[in-house]
Amino acid sequence: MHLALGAAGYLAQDWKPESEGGFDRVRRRIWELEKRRAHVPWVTSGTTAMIARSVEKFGSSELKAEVMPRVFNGEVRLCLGYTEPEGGSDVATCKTRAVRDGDGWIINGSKMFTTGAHNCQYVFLITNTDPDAPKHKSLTMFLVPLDSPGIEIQGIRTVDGDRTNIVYYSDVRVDDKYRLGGVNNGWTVVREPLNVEHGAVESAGDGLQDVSIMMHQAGFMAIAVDKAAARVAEPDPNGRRLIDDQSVAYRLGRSVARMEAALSAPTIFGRVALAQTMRDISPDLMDILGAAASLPIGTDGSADDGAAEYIYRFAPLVGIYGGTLEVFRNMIAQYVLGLGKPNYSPPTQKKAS
Amino acid sequence: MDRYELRRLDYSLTEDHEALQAAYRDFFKTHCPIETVRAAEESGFDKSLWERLCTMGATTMALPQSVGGDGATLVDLTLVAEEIGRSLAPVPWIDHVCAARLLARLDALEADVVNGKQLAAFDPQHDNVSGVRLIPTGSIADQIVVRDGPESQDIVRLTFGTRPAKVDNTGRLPMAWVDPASADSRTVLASGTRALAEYQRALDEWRVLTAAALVGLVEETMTIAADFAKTRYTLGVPISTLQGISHPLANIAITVQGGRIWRAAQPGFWTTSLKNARSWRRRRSCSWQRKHPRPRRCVCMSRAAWVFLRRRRLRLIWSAPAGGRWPEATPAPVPSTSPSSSRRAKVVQERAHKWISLRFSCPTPTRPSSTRRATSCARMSQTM
Repeated sequence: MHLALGAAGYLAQDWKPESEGGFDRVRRRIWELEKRRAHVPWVTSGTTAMIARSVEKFGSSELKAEVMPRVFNGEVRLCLGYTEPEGGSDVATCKTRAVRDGDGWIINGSKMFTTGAHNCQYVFLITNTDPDAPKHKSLTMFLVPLDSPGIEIQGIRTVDGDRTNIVYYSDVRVDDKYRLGGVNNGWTVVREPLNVEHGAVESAGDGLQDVSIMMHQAGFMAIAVDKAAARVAEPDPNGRRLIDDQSVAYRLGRSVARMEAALSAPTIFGRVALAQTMRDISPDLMDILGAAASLPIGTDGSADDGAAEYIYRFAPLVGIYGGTLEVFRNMIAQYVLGLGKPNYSPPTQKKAS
Repeated sequence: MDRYELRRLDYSLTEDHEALQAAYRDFFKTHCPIETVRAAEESGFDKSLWERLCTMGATTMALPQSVGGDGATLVDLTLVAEEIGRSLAPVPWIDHVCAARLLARLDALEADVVNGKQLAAFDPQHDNVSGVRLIPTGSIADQIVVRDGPESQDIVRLTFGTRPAKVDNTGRLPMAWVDPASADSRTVLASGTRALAEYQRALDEWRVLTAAALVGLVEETMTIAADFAKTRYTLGVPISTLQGISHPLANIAITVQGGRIWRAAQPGFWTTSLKNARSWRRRRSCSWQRKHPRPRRCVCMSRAAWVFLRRRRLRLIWSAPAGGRWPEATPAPVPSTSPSSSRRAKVVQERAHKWISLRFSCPTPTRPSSTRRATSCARMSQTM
């Protein structure tokens, strides 16, 4: 799929500005929406675009020449190596070590949730190059070729039916040309795509874009709601419709109201509202549709071809991608309401010191 | 429904909208402090505030030009309603304009209703529309518009020689039980399907404006709570930095954002008020975002006429000499998003303290200073 999109020139057009032959805003919007409509496997195209921008900005000319042309034709896909098995959403907490070795570096450690690693050629890896420094000054970024000796990719199945990976790095040697940005300056490099992932990007006023991120995922919720609404209006052999039951009407109506409000909420407000709403309404939708709602996509006799069941399984993940709901509530509290930086240190320690 | 919308409607405000919003925010900030709200609790109505509001053109703007109004759109009205909610203003503006707009559609509008000298009330209840009913502004209205008659098919105007008595209620509204049978005059204005459809539209408008007022109220309450949380300490830190406090507040911020846009997108109004979709710009940006470039305005004759009228009215507002207290023609004060550093924060803080001390009957500090308050609160929380 990815190669075919590359061959058709879409990946290059997606990447380039309009002045250099890239999509104009209307075409770009159509491209995004039609990929959604067709349920194109999309995870690594998003990360590829994101990381390619970091390569363009921070990579050596040698690295750019190696990577960039193959990004455009689809041969190169890129994935994120951020989270560690013992780490949470704070990407700056990093135990994977990179140690200088002549012209290159030796990397040891492991990364969790390297989604798409089995389909990608490089991983955008956060490493710790100075364990004694404060955590934001200890990081160095690498674009590590995934075919390097010492890399082991293990698949992990996720509850939404997808696959992610745990990737082990054992004495992996990478040339210094794969370093992005300065040594111990990795936080600057890492923040670029994080800003995109968090949705803190400026918006244009022409309506040709999503009002918040996670709209792609929210689309699944909207489809599930529409399917439920269609289903409850179908009469059974006795002419009875589910919607005639007022408790069904009430719960469906409440779900629709929650969803529409979430679809309308902008930027990071929408980010939280969508994920939270997806978690809250999917059980209601399944209840409304009855036992056959528990049959997944593609199963005979499913109430709605598994639409509600899928968002029920998908919702917990949507609330974690790119930082948990709690991280975003922290951001709203701190930056929008000005409530101050959260203090996580235990109070008892404070008293003792 | 195609869920893959090419171009989303943009709900961000135009310059005219922002000017209108700023004018009313200023108005209520100046003329409706919390003391005014408290003072009106008994009656649920502040007559002098109402008269001031009418002088500003708040009732006139809501009506079509054909009856001597200024032809505001529903979006314009939601902006005013939001400020009414924000300040808890004890004025029956929402009920009055919905009733007046209904009367205009039924060709039964009197000039004194247009300018607000005569107060019109409205029965916003969906069910139980026969017999005695509770009307939110029934104790102060000069005329009351209700559904009545056989199967509630008539739209009726009631007047009372002696206004119905106010009943105590949680909302501190000038609410009264109204019995159409005991009215001194009872005029059937219209009957039948079309009339009921107009009544339903008035009901929809009432809901949208009430929702807008609630958005303003919730946002202000959230601001008060957030500012208060910054002054209270426990275990050496402001409680605002604890997720048990900050996350519920963040959830309210999300509700406000979603509610503000959604109510503008209520399906009932696509047909009636969305003729000029480009005027429905209502997207808010986060504090760290740069303001997006303003889209080109779609100019048409009626639009241009309205902009002119509103500019004229705003000039009137800004230059109005009444009491010599109209705000100067200064740009809109943008609400600060880092209130800790602003003057507004102080005002809100003081208001929060008054609010809380009134609520729990504890003494208000005579000369509140944030440091004093912080330490005294810290002490309080230690002793708790």
